[in-house]
Amino acid sequence: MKNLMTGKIVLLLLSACVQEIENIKPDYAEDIRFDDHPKNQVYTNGLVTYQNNTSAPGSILLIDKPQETLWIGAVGKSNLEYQVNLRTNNLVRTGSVTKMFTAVVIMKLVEEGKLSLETTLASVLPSMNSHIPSANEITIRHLLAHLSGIVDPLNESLQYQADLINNPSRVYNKTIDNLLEEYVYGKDLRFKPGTAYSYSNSNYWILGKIVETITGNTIQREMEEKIFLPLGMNDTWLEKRDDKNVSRGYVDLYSNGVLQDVTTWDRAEGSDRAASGLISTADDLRKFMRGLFSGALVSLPTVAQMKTIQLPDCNSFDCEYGLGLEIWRTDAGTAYGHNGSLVGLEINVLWYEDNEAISVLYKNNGNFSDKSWLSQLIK
Amino acid sequence: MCLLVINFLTTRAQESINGRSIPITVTLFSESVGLPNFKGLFKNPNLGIRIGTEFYYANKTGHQTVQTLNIGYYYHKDFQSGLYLSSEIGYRKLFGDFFLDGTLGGGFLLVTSALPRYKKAGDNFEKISNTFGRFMPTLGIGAGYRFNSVSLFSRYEMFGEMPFGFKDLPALPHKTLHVGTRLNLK
Repeated sequence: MKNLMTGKIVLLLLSACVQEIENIKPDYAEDIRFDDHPKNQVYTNGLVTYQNNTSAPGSILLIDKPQETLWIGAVGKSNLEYQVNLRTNNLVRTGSVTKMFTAVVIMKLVEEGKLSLETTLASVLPSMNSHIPSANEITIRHLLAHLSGIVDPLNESLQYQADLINNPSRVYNKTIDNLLEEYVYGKDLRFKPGTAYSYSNSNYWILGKIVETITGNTIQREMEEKIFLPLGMNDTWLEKRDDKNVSRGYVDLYSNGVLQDVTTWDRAEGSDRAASGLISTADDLRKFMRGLFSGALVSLPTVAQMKTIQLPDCNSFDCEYGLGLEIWRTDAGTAYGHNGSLVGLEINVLWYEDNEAISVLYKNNGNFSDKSWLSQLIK
Repeated sequence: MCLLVINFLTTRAQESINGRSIPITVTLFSESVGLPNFKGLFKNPNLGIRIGTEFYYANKTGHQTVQTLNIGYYYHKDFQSGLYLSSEIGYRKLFGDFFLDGTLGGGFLLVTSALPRYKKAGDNFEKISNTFGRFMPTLGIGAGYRFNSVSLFSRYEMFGEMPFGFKDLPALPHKTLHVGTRLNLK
């Protein structure tokens, strides 16, 4: 008994030695429910099953079909510390979904004649000549379509990942120039530009720099003026802004069924960057997809270009990527959009060509998930 | 409060070896997660302390084969603290009063995470203790100099947190850089 007490006291003292990461209590705002939707039960069942199968604290599903009224469902929690329910209009980090937005800004600059898809990296950012091999061969198209061969620290560099664990605040405060200098400059390309596909966040960091160089504005302001304001996306931003109502991120770090709150890591990677920094809501993402594929943001011929696989001899699922758009072969037909993931979340945003439906699927657990079940709801 | 814990454990360790003529090692170290390099060990370091002793399988003029027993603690801001008990087998080559050594060992690491932990309970997740145990393999090299009964040395040591599993990594690697002294107490 005495030993047990001693052990408890030691554990208590050890716990007191470590300060938990900051977690400010969110607002318990009112949810917008879609319970009267004719397919509410079917869609909710799919969402609950997905949440259970992926061990996610919370999950959101949006389905928007032209022949139906909009449906959004949310189950589970956005913040486990305070046991706050995830809401249908909850703010969420979107990870690489941001790349679609950056690609749209670039394509608008192309339409405005300020840039060409064949413009080389070296011509628009001459300093890159001394930092990135073959910068005079890498084009805007290569960057948009991940054909540049530039390394991807987020997925390839153990040093980057260790830096994220060691000091997420430091990673959060790094500028794009800092990131490029530390993890990208001076590294060999993975292949000759234009000859192969390799997904890299660096491409979109550089595209953000290009936007800022061409326009003289920040990428955040360009996105706001070219996308958020015209489409009325009032709950979307790219700049660094801490909001207690953004859903927190969790991951099973030790693969033992225990989730840990990794929001500080997601904040470091999922703020203000052209590759992964967008914060939004399911409905704002729907507005973006509807706007993009209806031609409200860029012309339909431009959208057609964005939907086209860019690697000439692509013969596998892995390289099916357009200009900022992933191409998904689903049981509901071909879909275009993007998957996004940070350590503590996964989100998938798709527009289906056959019936022009839109889906947004989010969960605040960063593990990989099977999303094929979604096709049955979209058909 | 951390110092109180360390003081408590140090006192207990001292009591357990009371009266014996065995070496006592004390090191201060910097800890960082990551690859075996020096990055993260100097700028805004995460500090730790280790106290230990060693026993000799062989104690010759030119070399020693040793077994160490250590207790250590580190604090890594915004990630975790670790309290560990470890033992290593080591080989030390002596060049006069200068020496080089290498060690291989393992131990038990009691982690207290700064990242809150939650476990599934029915349809929900409930908060659980943020203190948990892990196996801790270690690998280290060091160099130092003997002044009669006192040695000064530096060690570079890697240790892991096992099991891990995220991104299929079997262990979460940590690196430490120690500066310490060994006192041969009578």
